[in-house]
Amino acid sequence: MLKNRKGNPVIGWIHTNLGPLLGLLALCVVVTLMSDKFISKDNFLNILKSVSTNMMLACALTMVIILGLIDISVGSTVGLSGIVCATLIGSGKYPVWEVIMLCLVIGLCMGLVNGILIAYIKIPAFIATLATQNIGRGLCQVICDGAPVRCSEESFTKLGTTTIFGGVSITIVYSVFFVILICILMYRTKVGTYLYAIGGNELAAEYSGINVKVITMIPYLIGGFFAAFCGVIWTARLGSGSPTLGQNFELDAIAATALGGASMSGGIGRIGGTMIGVLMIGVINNGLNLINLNSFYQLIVKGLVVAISVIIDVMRKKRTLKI
Amino acid sequence: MSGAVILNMQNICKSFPGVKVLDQVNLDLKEGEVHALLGENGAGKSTLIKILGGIYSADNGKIYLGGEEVKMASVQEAQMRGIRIIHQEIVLVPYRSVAENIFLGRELKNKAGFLDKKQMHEQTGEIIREFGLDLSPDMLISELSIGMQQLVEIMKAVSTDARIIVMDEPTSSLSEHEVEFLFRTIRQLKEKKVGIIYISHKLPELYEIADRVTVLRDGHTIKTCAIPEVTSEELINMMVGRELTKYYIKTENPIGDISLEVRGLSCGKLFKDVNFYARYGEIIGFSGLIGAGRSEVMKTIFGILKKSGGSIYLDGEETDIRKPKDAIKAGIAYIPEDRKNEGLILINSVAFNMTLAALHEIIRGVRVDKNRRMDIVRHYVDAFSIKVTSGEQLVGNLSGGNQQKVVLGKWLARKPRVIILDEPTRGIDVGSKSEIYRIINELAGEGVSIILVSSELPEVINMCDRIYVMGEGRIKGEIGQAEFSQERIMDYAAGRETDDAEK
Repeated sequence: MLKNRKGNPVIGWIHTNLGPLLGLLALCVVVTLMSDKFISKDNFLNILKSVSTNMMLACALTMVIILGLIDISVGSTVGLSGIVCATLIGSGKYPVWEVIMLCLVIGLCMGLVNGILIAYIKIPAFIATLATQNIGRGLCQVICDGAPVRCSEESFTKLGTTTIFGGVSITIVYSVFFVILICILMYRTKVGTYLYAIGGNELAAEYSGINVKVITMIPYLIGGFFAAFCGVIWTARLGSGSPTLGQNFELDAIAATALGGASMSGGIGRIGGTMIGVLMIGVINNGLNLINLNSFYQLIVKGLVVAISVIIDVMRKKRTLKI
Repeated sequence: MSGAVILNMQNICKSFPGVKVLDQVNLDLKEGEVHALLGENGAGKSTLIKILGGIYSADNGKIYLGGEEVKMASVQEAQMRGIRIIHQEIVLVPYRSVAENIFLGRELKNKAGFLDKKQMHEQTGEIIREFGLDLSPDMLISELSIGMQQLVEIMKAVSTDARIIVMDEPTSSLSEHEVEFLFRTIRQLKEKKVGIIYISHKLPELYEIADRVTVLRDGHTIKTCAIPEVTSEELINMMVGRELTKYYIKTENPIGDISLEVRGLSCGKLFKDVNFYARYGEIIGFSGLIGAGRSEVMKTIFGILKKSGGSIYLDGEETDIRKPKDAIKAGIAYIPEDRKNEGLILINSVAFNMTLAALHEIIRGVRVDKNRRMDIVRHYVDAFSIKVTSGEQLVGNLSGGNQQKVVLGKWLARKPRVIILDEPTRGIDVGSKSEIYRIINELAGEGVSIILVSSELPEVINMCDRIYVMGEGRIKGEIGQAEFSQERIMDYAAGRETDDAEK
């Protein structure tokens, strides 16, 4: 794979992510055949807008999965941040920016707790984040007493509803910004190399003098931060906070990572692949909406696509790696 | 060779739960010196260097670097102080490039503070050229042979400005050609006044490269002396602590008909066209370098790996083995190399593990007959003199030797016709080793076919009736007992074609 690096970087990128790209292309072809509304600038912008938060969460999840770990708490962190945001801003007593800062700090705290539980106390990642997921969701319900909260102050909602350049939602800009930051972190700094090293062979990383514990914390902190940010955006977009906001968000993010070719046992995975995976899920949802399929069926279709593409990927790798 | 002392480890003690691994061990190293560390498996060599490398901390004792007392609290600290370790097991990141692995933990940065991939790539290329290897910095570790991976490990350590380099059995998976690379590198390092601690079982190597030797046995320092002043017989006696002749227990057993025969067995890229046979009462050895495909052949016979060609015959009948259950039914037992992961369930009891493969014999209706289970356990505990407090003791708390005996008991309870032992004495103390040899010999005496896969040449030479040597996924030669010698085996293993290798 790396042998192509000396050539054209674009061709190299296409080559590395060939599997997911073909999957995305196939999906687009199918949806185009089913609906003539699919190919249009507005619809594409619509897809990008709808995947913008999942894009951020999936990037954070990819880092976690490269480590060979998992984080299922991001969805409830989205909810917690959203509900805190809606309650405080809805009350009208606090400045918008301070509330947002508070929400982001809450997200970082959730990530910090996850990181400490997993890296230092050595609790299995699934169990640790299951616990924080439950706690986060419970806090949501406690804070708003189970009922949605309105917060329609315009200086706040415009953070999620503004469009620029004639129709590009601001949320797309946020996600592009953060994805670029993550790419720099992953491919231009030590942190990315260390994540791959720990996920690939933890002993090798440790024996090379890498502080495995500290590095393990990083994706969880980023995940918490991104989740909190997504919570704020969603609340702004909807103009209200709901205690169930963000439910199953982590599952979409994990599915996108898997679609992007990451290995759940760590060491393998690319942000680029995950981005394609996110788009695949976006196209599925969009396509099914366009043909007016009941949302219950959407889940089934999504599940099938994830299963089938991962099966294809596993078979492909088996052929190239082993025998 | 009378340079300044750069490292002095004094009275190092270390215990793990239940065992004292190091007891008052001393070691010193001069600049520009190759100091060999010699000892049986389990003598404490690896523990000692892990203490030096900051991976373990000593319970007691002092470490002086250039006269200054230091505490090696972490790997980072040891590396900062100029200590690099080439570990016995390969610790590289499989799906990353050679360049990334070589610079892991000390990445180069450009002026903007980002990774300087180009620079790392170029420097890696230079290191590779210095070594004279045919390798690209972009290649993934997982694409390389085991020997090449070992060389990458060596390059990784050597390319730093280390003052002390520890090499833990660096030649265990190298071909002769690659060993020459290594020795040339070691000589260059000596000129740069780097001190090298060199761990190896291969005595001829020590006479070629080492200046002094320290022998460890059962966690004690036995002696430190200059290499030319000591013969290899003396070294072996110091290591083993008794006469070697009594160490291996092998009697002439009556040899019967062919039990297991393998014809043209292949498994993808792992190995090709493997032919051999084993007879009742016979012990056959499988020798070769690590990665030669020996374990893979055995795993295929046992149905763990799927064969891509060839056939397996038991008592002359072709047998279709698709999964371990078929092999067990056919009377084959496989005792894996990695007993902790593949052989035992460490968090369960001795009795549980020992009867796991023979459950059908102790199940009455739907429940386990505890009395029968204890009978079986008691039988093997006595027969193998396994040191346990009771059958309920957890296997995880036993020593390596006793664990291996439990695995043996587990399979013997099924009364197999063919027993495959994959590195049965790895990481086992000297006493238990000898007992395992006794058990192997007894089994052969009872008419069982034994296949002994081992990297330790003295082991196969002293225990086997015939030896097959594997290399690069093929059987390179078959040697009868009359012609056993270490040189002959190594010739075949290193792929040096002798006249009779081509039949």
